[in-house]
Amino acid sequence: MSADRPVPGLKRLDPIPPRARAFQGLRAGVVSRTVAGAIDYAIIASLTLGTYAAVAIVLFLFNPTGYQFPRWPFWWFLVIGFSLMISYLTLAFGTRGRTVGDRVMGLRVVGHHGHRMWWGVAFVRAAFCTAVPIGLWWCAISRENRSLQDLLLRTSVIHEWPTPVQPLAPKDAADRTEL
Amino acid sequence: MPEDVPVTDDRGDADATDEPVALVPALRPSAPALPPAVEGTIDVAIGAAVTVARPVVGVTLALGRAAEPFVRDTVHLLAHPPLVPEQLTLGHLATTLAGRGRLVRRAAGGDAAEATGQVLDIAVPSVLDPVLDRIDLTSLVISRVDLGRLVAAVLDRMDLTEVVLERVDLEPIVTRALDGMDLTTVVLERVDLGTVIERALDTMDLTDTVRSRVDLKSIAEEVIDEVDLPEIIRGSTTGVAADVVDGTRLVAMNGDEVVNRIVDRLLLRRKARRTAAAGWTGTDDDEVRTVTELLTGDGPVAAGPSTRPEGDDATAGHAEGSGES
Repeated sequence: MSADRPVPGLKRLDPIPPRARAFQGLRAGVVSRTVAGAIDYAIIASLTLGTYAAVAIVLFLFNPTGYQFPRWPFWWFLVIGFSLMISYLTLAFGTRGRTVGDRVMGLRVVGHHGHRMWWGVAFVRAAFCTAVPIGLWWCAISRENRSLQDLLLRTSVIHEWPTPVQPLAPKDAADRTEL
Repeated sequence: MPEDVPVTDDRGDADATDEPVALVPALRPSAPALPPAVEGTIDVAIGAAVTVARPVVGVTLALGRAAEPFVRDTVHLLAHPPLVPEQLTLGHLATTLAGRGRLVRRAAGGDAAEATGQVLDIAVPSVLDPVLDRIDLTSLVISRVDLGRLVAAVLDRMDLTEVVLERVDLEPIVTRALDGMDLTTVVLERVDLGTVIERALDTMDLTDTVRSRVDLKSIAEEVIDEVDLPEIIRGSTTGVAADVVDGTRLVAMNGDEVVNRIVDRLLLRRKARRTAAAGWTGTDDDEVRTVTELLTGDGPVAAGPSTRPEGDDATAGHAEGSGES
């Protein structure tokens, strides 16, 4: 973890508001996670429709005179959407532990020991989240704010607001009041 | 003039002050009076003389005026008798004598004037000095002279500023005056600085003065160099968006708490939720310090049970090992 390597002269203030600091590292509740999931679903829906639009454009370029919009059955959209969602979530869980929705809501998915999860776990969790999205709402009932996916894979979704890197000189930091 | 400087007379003789002369008032209240008998006699004599002399003088003048043509012709006839050569007449003789006398008078006039001046040089000081020593000239001038008019007339005729600038060494005077006074206090107490500044500002074009005397360009460049303007612009534009995101997160967190509370009541739970994530020691992003830690030099924030609200009873290991409730 980069917190263990000191960077001489590069200190920065905590940009997290005081009200939210105490919640950092705690498992998030159902509202925060639902909002983050809704953002992710909106992104995947946009990507799915974007895929359809891209295919339609390519077909138009190949046959502009006799062009017709491609007629896909609904389950094609489901397959594409599910594929995109699993890929997207796997990539997000296995790298920074954040989807776009998680980043917006200041959440992070961590593994069994509070660190980044393995890629296999990330893929299984992504598939589980895609197949049983309603499992997210179990965290409202769980005493540990865990969803069904978290219970099975021993993962956690915690509050961890992203902090941009803003190095400040020690003198500047000493002159300022606490945020 | 300092008081310790000895008074000297015009000849520079300081000993003249050793024997003070008693001054007498220049203006006597009245002239010394003669005895009444003498005054009466004199008045009678003057009256008789005037009474007698006036008709005598009048008659004499009338006779003179009447006889003037006759006397003039007679004198002319005697001076220039007929049938007598002109060189032998009395008139010619008188004219010749008059010319010679005129020449002599003119030749002696310069010597007489010089001699008169020498006499005056000797006589006047010897007379005037004792007189002035005995007269209180100051009181005489004060009482007899209209000093106001005199000074006004003198000041009208002279350029006092020019005289002071030429004759007076102003620097030691001003220096001594400034040494003896607290100029700041005097100005603060006696001068209406607000009015002075306001009037000065009214009479000057401050904008034009600043433009002509201040190197605004270099100052602006220096300020821009000191200030990271792009960073300020970036910070001001991203600050609004960051505030909106922070607000959304806080609202969602409050929503979490509300939902948790409702569910816990419905499920009749009495213990608080154990939401601490196992093994989490802080953000992966970078070192984060609070201001207090920056000032005290402590290490980075170790977010964990110590930062938990409401005294959560779960430790990391306990929360991790407990599983789902």
